[in-house]
Amino acid sequence: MQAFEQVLTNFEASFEHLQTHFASQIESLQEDSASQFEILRAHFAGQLENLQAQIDELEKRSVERLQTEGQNRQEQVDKLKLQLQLLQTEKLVQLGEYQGSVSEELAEEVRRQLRDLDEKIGSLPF
Amino acid sequence: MRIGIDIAKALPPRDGVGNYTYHLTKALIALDGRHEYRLFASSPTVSRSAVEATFENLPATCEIAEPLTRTQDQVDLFHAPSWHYPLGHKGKVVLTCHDLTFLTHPQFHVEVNRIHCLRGTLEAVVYGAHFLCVSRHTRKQVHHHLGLPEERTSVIDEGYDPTFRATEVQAAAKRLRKRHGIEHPFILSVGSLEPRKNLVRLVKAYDGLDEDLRRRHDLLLVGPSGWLNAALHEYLAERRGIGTIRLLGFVEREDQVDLYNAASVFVYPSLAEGFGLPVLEAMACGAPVATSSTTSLPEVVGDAALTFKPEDTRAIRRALHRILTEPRLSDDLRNRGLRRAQHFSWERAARETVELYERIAA
Repeated sequence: MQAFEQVLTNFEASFEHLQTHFASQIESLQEDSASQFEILRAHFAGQLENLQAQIDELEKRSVERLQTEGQNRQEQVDKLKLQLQLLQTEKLVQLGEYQGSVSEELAEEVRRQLRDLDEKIGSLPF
Repeated sequence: MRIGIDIAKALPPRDGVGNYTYHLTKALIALDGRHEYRLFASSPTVSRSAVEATFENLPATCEIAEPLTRTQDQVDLFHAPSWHYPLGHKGKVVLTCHDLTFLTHPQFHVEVNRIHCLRGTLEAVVYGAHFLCVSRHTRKQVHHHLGLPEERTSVIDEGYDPTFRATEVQAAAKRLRKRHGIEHPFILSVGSLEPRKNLVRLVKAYDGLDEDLRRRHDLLLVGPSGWLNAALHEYLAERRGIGTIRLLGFVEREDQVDLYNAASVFVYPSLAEGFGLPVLEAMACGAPVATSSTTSLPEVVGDAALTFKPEDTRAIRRALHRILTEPRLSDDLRNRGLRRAQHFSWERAARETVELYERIAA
C-alpha cells in the first residue's frame, strides 16, 4: 500500500514539474537556434520516456493492488464461511445428542474432527 | 409421488459423485413412468439453461424446478446424491452415501470437502434421512460409525455408462497413437491425483518391475489434478529410472474407452473407496484388472481381478508382473471382467432406486 501511494505521489510531482519545465522550455525554444532545438528535443523525449515508465509502473501497481485485495477478501469470506459451517455442525451434534440420534461415540469423533478442522482453518492467512 | 433430485453436481465437468448423479437421474427419468420428477440445484451458480443443456428432451413426467434452489415443500420425497441436505424440506429424504472416508481417512481430504460431507451427513442423521449406500462396505461403515439402524439404510450398486464396452483393440491403440502420441503398450490407472488413490506406491511398484517390462510398457495415469499430490510430483520430478510414466490429465470419455480397451493392465491401488467406478468401467471394456483387496473394491470385482494389499508396494508390483507376463491369466481376467460387469447397470440402479422411493414413502 505504501509503495503504491509513493508511486502515485512521484507521478503527480513529476507531472507538475514537467508542466512547468515544458512551459519555460517552449518559451526559450522560440528564441533558440536549431542546434539548441535538437538538444531540447532529445531532452523532451527523455522526459516523456520517463513519464511513460512512471505511468506503466503506476498501472502495474494498481492491478497488483486490486488483485491482492480481491484475493484477500475472498479468502477472508471463505474462511468465515468454513468457521460458520463448523459452528453449525457443532450445533447439529448437540441437537443429535439431545434427540438421541447421535451416539456418544459419534459425537466425540465429530468433535475431535471439528477441533482438528478449526485448528487447520485457524492457521490459514486470515 | 413427486420426487425431487439435486442435480447440481451432474453438470459438467463431473467428478465421481457428479457422474453418479447424472447417470442415475437420466436412467430414473427415462425408466420411471409412474412418478413425477423435479430437478433442483443446491448451488446458486447453476443456471436453468445449463440444466436444460445437460438433461435434454425431458419427458412430460420431469420438470426443472422454479426457482432451481428452492427445495422446500415442493415434492413428497427428496433425493440428495451429493451430501447437500435439503434443509427445510418437510417430506422424506434419501441421501446417497458414497463413502465415509472424510470421517475414517480425513487426511485424504481438503478442509472444505471434509466440512461439507461431515455437515451433510450429520444433517441426514439428525433429520431422519434414509441412507442409500453404494456398496455393502459403505453400508457397514454407516452402521458402524453413524450408528444407524438397518431400516434406515439400503444398498444399491452403481452402474456404468454403456459407452464403456469392449471394442477392437488395434483400432483403439491406433486412435490413441494419433490423439495422445501413445506408442507403446501401457499399464493404466484412472482417477484424480489425490493421496487416497495411492499413486506414489503405484509408481514405485512400476519402477520395481523388471527393466525389460518397463521398456516395453509405459505407465499412464489419467485423471484431473486432484489435491494434496505434492509427494507424487516430487517423486516423478526426481525419478531417473527406465520406463516412461505419463500424466495424461483429464481425458474425454471416448479416449477413456480407448485407453481401457488398449491397456495391458488396469491397476487401481486405492486405499479406500465407497464403490470404485473406474474398476467397473475397466472390466466393461475388457481390461485385465489388478486392484486393492480393501473396502468396497473386492465386492465390485468379485473373482474377476487380481487383488493386493494397497499398502504393500511389492504386492502391487507382483500383480503387475503376473498380468504382464502370464498371457493365460491376462485373458482369463479379461473374460471374467466382461462377465462381471454385466451385473451392473444404471437401469438396474434406477429400478432399485424407484423401489426404494416407494418403500420409504409407503
